[in-house]
Amino acid sequence: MASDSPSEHRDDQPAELHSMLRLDLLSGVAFSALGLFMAIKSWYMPRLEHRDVSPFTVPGIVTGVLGGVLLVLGIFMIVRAAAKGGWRFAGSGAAIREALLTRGGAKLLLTLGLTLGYAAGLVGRIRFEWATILFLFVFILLFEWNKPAAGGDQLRVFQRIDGFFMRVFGGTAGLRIRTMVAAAILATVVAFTVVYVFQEVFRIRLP
Amino acid sequence: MPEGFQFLLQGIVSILTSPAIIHVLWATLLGICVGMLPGLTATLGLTLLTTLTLGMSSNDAILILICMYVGAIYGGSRSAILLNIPGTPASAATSLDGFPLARSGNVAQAMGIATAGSVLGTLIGMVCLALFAPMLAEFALDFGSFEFFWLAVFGIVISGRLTAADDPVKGWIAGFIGLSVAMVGEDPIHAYDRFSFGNPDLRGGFDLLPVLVGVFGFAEILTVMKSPVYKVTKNVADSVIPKVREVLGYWKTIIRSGITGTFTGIIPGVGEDMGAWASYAMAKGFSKEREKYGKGSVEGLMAAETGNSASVPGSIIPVLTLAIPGSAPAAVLLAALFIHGVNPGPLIMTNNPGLVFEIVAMILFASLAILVYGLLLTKPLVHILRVPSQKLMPIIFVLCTVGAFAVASRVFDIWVMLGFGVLGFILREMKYPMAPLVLGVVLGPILDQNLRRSLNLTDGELIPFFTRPISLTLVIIIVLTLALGFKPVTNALRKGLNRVFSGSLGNGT
Repeated sequence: MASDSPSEHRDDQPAELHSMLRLDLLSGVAFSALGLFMAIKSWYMPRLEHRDVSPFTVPGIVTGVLGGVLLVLGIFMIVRAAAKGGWRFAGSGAAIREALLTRGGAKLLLTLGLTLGYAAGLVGRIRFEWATILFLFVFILLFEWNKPAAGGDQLRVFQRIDGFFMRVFGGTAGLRIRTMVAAAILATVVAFTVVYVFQEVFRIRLP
Repeated sequence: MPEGFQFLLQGIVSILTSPAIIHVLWATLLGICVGMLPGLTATLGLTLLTTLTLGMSSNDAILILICMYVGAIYGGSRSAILLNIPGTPASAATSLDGFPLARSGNVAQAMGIATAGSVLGTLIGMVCLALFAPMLAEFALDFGSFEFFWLAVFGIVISGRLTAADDPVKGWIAGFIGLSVAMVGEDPIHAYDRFSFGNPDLRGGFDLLPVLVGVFGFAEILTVMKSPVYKVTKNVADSVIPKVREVLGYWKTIIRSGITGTFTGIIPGVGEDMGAWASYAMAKGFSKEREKYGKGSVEGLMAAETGNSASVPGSIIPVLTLAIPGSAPAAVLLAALFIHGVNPGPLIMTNNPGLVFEIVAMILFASLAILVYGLLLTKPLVHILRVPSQKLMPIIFVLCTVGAFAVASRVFDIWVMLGFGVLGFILREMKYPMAPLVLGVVLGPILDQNLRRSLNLTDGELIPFFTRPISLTLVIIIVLTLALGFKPVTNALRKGLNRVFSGSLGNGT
């Protein structure tokens, strides 16, 4: 029977399960906090008695119930994760740092930075075409800089273009110049095509 | 029914004799491309096309969206077979047998069987749509506010249960988050601002389409860019046209999977992926070659593809008759119908009796188009998979930004897309399903208005919520689904059943 206790299993649990327990605990805290916030806000919403409104149609009734359900489900997640030992892993920031320092984590952060920079920073501030060209060019260049795609699965015509740049500029430098030229051409063509198709063909406003 | 047949014929003739046929050709092809590219889902494809078709006539817009929908669900099978990466979540079951078949040198056979399964599944679903949509609409005429309230709860509970089978609580939390999101903005009964914090943009609430673009577009882009790069190494050398005898040999599986897929599609918020899994599990249960499943079974591949494609017309049935989506792409279709002034719901057969059959005709043409493209264009379409994600994803993000903005020309919607994209990504990383969240956003206003209306009618009395026959049926299903979602209950049930059966076997009865 003793082997059924969570502490007995804890050391044998794989890292992935530890990570999921920690995430379950954290998400449980976040959702119960959200539920509590919704329930409290709903309680203070007006009851509209002066308008002789039925107490069963007041604005906060459904939001209050939803907040209550979220609170209960969030507490359930906390209790369940804690019972399996999730609280032990909750404070460790090392795993998060480790996850972000992997190649996938770095690519994720770069993607987030570029996309947020484009949609929240550039769009609406400068002309849409220029914002788009700049975003696409920088995005492709950064992701292909260290590993310019060459040969392999590409169509023969692209392999020939690669070969030309490598002959003229030599090895990796040639591929990087080819990447820059290709990124610039693709960014320009896509930006103007999007503008033409949305604005001219489908008559849709652009930001 | 003869009237329905007449509407269907009219629909077929109107597509054949107008430029609509051009829309069928390009929209289905675009759908296949969208579906086959990992990172692009049917939901995102439909959302972006909804914004593009804002200025079109409602018939053309619906036709384009239906073709995109059918094409994208089929297109997902291409990458599932070639790369073992489902192009859309609906093709996850396809990769189980499609990829091993391709790896054993039978790429063309796998492609051909998947095409045949998809076409036949779509056609079975289409027949069910024509038969059951009018019946369901008539049945739904008896629905009052009590039934609509329970239907909304039922949608969240069942969608959460089925889309997060390992941990239904996460599915339900996702559903309740979606319902809570729908509460933001002006209350529809008393016009009180809920959770808008004085922000004029929040006062209007969150539009469904920017939320969808965020959850299914931006979140997917983040996921793809974080994942390792995939490589296309296989070539399709042989003919992909399957042998008719081979296809017909699986007729029982096809019919069973088609019907299973359609009915899974009808269940609110469950979607095509569950249609494929349910059909696959059922085919395996009935199969004489169970040991081949997961190792390249042609029957397994046929079941998965028939099931997910049949779910497409299936998930359109509740859209048209109840204004409740059967899946995430169907939620976009529902939003598009409202945008174009077509009001689906129980009155559809009274107000717009031809629409159901026009949509049947549209599905027929879309399925014929995937048959032609699937058999003739397989080899050229494989080249699309060679586009590297670092080139494709930023282009998709540009389209997401434009798509989010275009619905209402509000920069606020771009922020909504970004916010829900990051939220969707985090939730997915924590294994929270997205379908119940989207369904929650759609069902939120239905639940809100109908609960308050019902409480007002009964003056706070709760008993009438349980005494009406349809309400009671829904309540029983909800309670059972909830109970079976908790492990202690299922364990106790399993132990009880074991005891009963072992006892009866021990007694020799």
